[in-house]
Amino acid sequence: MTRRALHRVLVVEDDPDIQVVASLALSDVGGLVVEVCGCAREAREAARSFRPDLILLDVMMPDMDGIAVLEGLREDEGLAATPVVFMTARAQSHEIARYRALGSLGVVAKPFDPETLAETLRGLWEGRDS
Amino acid sequence: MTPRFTAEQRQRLEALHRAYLRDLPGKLRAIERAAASLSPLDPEGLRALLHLVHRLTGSSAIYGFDRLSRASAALEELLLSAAEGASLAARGGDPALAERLAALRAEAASAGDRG
Repeated sequence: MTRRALHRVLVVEDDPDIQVVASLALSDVGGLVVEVCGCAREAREAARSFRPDLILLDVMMPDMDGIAVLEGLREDEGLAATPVVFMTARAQSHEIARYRALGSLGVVAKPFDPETLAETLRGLWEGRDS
Repeated sequence: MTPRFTAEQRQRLEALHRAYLRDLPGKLRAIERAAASLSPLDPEGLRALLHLVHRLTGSSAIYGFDRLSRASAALEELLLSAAEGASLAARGGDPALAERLAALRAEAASAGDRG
């Protein structure tokens, strides 16, 4: 059976300087349809309306951390199964293991490479449930 | 195969890089202002400073300013310890804080010169 390709990504990241590079990387370079949400508290609503295949979620945000956002998404019937990939500068092995244990699909280390970010997400997307 | 930027995408990235450098002094000023107004009685002020520094650590690395990002990360580490109740206790005049701010300032100036 052929799996559906990754198409729509919601980026939840508060820093506009990083938002713009992530958009360039995923949309222009990666050919994905991208929506950016700059406020963690609005992530659930943004996901409800955008219906992403995958959510790229910053861990450390001022209003709410990424882990709390993930917990909120998991409580939402319509979003509970949407894969989440964390973005963090603290990507040591024990932290990656913790994020995986929380139910994330994977972790992208900051700084990410804009040339390969989309490819990294596609790899995680295609490897899910395997 | 690893994707590569087209010439147009590279130009856009270079324009973003230039814009980032233009905005860098303003980011530094905001950090300096927040650090100068730190008070042990104002944990919110410390959190706001930590947020500004955390952003700089992440964004400067993504824009390729590795030394600036390391200087910012060193300051962030100190502020995180303070936020967790370490002895810095959010004192604006703390010598360790002043030293790391000076290092950050120097790296920002150096990034501006190289840019």
